Amino acid sequence: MKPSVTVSLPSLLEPVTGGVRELAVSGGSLREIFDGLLEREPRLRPHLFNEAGELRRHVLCFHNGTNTRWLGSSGRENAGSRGGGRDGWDTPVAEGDTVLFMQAVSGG
Amino acid sequence: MGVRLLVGTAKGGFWATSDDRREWEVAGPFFKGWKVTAGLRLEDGGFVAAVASEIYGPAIFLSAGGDEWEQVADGPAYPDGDDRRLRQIWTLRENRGVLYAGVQDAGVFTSGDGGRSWRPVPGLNEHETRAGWTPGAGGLCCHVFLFDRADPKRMWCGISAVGVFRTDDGGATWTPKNRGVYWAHEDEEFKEIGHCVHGLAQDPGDPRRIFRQDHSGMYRSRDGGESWEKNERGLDSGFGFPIVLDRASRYLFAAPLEADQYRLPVGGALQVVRSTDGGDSWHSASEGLPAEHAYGGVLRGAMAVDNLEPGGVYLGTTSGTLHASRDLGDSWTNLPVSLPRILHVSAWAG
Repeated sequence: MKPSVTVSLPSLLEPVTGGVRELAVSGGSLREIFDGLLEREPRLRPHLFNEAGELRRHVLCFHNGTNTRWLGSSGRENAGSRGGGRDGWDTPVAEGDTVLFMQAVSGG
Repeated sequence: MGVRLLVGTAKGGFWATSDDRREWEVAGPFFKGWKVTAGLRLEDGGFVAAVASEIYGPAIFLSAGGDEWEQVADGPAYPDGDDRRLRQIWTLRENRGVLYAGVQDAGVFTSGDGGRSWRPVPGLNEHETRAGWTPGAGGLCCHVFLFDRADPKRMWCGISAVGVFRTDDGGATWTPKNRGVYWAHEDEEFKEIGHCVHGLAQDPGDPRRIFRQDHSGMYRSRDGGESWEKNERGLDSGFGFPIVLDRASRYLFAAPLEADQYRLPVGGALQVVRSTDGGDSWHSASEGLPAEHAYGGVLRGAMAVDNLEPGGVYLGTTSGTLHASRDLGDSWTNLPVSLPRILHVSAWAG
């Protein structure tokens, strides 16, 4: 039985999911959580991920409060890494973890 | 007969409805926070809307009645790994049961199942001139289609800062059609591409007669785009973005702006110009529009006709004002709204 993770989505994506803001998704790693999320809500794919399969430029994803862009390939937090790639997607997840998507809002 | 307007803004969509085209009810926003960039009413009465977000990208939604919307799962997309990105859907059209989407980065996608799935048109998207396509100020976008009602294999599309293309074989091959349009290139040799078409309209009685609001002025073709002639008699400025044609009267409407370096209504007066003689001449048809302190322009998708008789004409501005004429531009009503920047207006009777 793989752990269940709570995935939260921003309100702007309500039209895409028909109003769903929170889902319980099972998986052993962030990658499996993302795959499970897109299996449940395939229409989210072009909004969260680009054609290269990476997070869109201004989409933020936090695992238990840590920006997934800052996770190294080992899954440990690495504040020096700010790439948009998939480093850190093999980070293991545990029952009750949270994955939060939100938009990077900048400017005034 | 009543009219329904889909008003697409930078922050959502709005409906404006009227039974008599005098009194209007405005509802919305739907898709709150999203750009609503194009709209289409299908022959079966359903609606198609294109939305986009700077953060979350574009999508196409379908609705049976305009209240509940569902995103299509298999929307337009460039192949994984492609260096092109789908940034925005600029126009949606239906012709002979096929839906067409013009997109940015510039390309054409079609749907044969009412918008539920979309496929690229390689003859245009992979055109031999593609490497030379460069974006204009609004981005590298395909934003307008025309169809030949007599010849199902002939159609046209316009790509900003690239030009007009025509296919005579149902979309398999496309040829640039820009001869006669002024160009400002690095040398005097005519280039097939690099022409910034802003809008196109077509005579329903003769699809070879095409009217073109171009970056470099107002043009007309009498031969399906083989050649273009400038027709600006009566215009204070040939610069502008939208051009629409009322089907019954064949009157043309445009909304000129002062030169490309300003892009403001001339003299601070929101102006509509009309041609009642097939583009031979133009005159102002602006009675009732704000005549001073009006500095919102009209974007290429923000002007529409309802094709009732007499024809209604509608426009929205970058200042969020919305304006309606129920008499072919003889007089205008300014709707009491202050919307976000208006990107798109569609009008449907009924």
